[in-house]
Amino acid sequence: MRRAATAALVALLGGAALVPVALARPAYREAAVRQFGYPGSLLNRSTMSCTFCHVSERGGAPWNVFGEELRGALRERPGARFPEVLHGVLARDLDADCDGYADALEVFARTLPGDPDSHPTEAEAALRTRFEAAGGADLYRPKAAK
Amino acid sequence: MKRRDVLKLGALAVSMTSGMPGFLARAAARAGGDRVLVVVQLTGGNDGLNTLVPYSNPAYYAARPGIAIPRKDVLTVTPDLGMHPALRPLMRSWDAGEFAWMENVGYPNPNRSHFASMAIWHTADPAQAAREGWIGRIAERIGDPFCASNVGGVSPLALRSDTMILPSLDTVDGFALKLPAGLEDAYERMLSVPRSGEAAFVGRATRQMISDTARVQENARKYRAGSAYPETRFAASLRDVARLIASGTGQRVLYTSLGGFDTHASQRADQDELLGVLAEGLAAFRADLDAQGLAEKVVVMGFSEFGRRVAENGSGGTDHGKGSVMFALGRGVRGGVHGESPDLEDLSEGDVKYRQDFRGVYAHALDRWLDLPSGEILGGTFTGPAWLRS
Repeated sequence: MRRAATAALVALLGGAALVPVALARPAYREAAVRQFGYPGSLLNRSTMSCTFCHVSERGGAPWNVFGEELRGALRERPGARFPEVLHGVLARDLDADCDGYADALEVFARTLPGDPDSHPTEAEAALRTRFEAAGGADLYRPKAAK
Repeated sequence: MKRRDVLKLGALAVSMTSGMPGFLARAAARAGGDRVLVVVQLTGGNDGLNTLVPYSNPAYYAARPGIAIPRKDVLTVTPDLGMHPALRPLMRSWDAGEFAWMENVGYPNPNRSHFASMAIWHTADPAQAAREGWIGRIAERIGDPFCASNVGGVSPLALRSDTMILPSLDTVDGFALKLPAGLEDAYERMLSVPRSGEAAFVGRATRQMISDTARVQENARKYRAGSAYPETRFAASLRDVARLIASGTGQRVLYTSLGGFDTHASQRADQDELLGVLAEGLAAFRADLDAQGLAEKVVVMGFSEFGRRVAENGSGGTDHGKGSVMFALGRGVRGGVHGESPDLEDLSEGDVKYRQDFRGVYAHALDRWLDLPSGEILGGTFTGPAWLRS
């Protein structure tokens, strides 16, 4: 009876809450999703694929060309926070995957800046006009630094 | 069912149905002793080498050309080691001989997974066979589910027990005896019904719980922090821990966490800030205990699930490693650096080779501070540094 009662109490209180699920959520992806203002659940891979920076959908090494560009910037500024460095990379207006669209434009269009097969369908000039009108790279400046 | 079991389940059932925290009620038999162990978890894998810095070791600077703590910045504590500059608020405790570092702590067959390694620290079982946490086993040994609780955030596996539910709370303020409106009289009538045997015992326990709750809540309202806590969530949790202790809840173990130490990138920015949050919070907590006259009764023990690799990575950070440092703070602590620093030129797959099993550090706290049998709670005999004065 004692075990049954205890089990019932554990169930009532939600024993699953003991599992530290937050540990499994990549912090840098989460930071980027918030910084870009992407809608959707942080737990949903479609909100931002790990291949935004990594080669594999599972993350980890190796990184794609945009990921390597970001890593290089992180090395150059070891005392800077991740959002500041990420914004700095986008503000360079570079096109890491050489698909004709700058990295920041790809963020704006929600395509992958490190994958040449993923790029906006809208003409570059038109997209850039909309991007600049919306605020340009300042859109992704960390809030605290604004 | 034994009388004590009835008491525990009865108290817990009442606490659940009323929304009141059982630990405040303390209807169950009080644990012996009045010393408190506060466990601080640094979640994410704190980098030990940039926390207690081997500033005299060229291998440290060779491995970390971008993120090492410059020698000129460290807070020197020995001819070879210095604390991260963000830990300056703790130097007062260090100078008073009330702050200890335990060097090179880990466990056999290290696991670089956050989840697996944290579970190992929580259960004190590197074989990952144990279901219960080591603090859950403390509660079972004492026979009181209210002798330990988590403050802030998700309840850790360390407090899990197969036979008890240890409380977890976000803030002390939110907890009180709250019956649904209009049910107060009915509740009182229920308690007033004459009963016999175990039912009578549960009834008396419930009344005692209500009485204890009122007393503790009154004490909690009287609490005035004896120091200025910083405006951080971690410091707020520590203030709640101090408030619980000062309110006379009689708990033996209180647990809280500070997260964000998984510094794969931007380590100097992120870890520097986190260590500052840690140090400022602990310094305020320590000063508060002094002001409350409780400094003799409380020690803090801190850990992280693993350290980081010796060499920095390509993102201005470090990846998951193995051994790291633990720390302890309090008037009962034997200050200093305990154990040998890792040999940075003799590594295991790029990681330091741990020398001190963390269970030896736990065992010392159990045997010497909480006066509990470490062998029974940890499932074996473990030795470690004498980091406590008595």
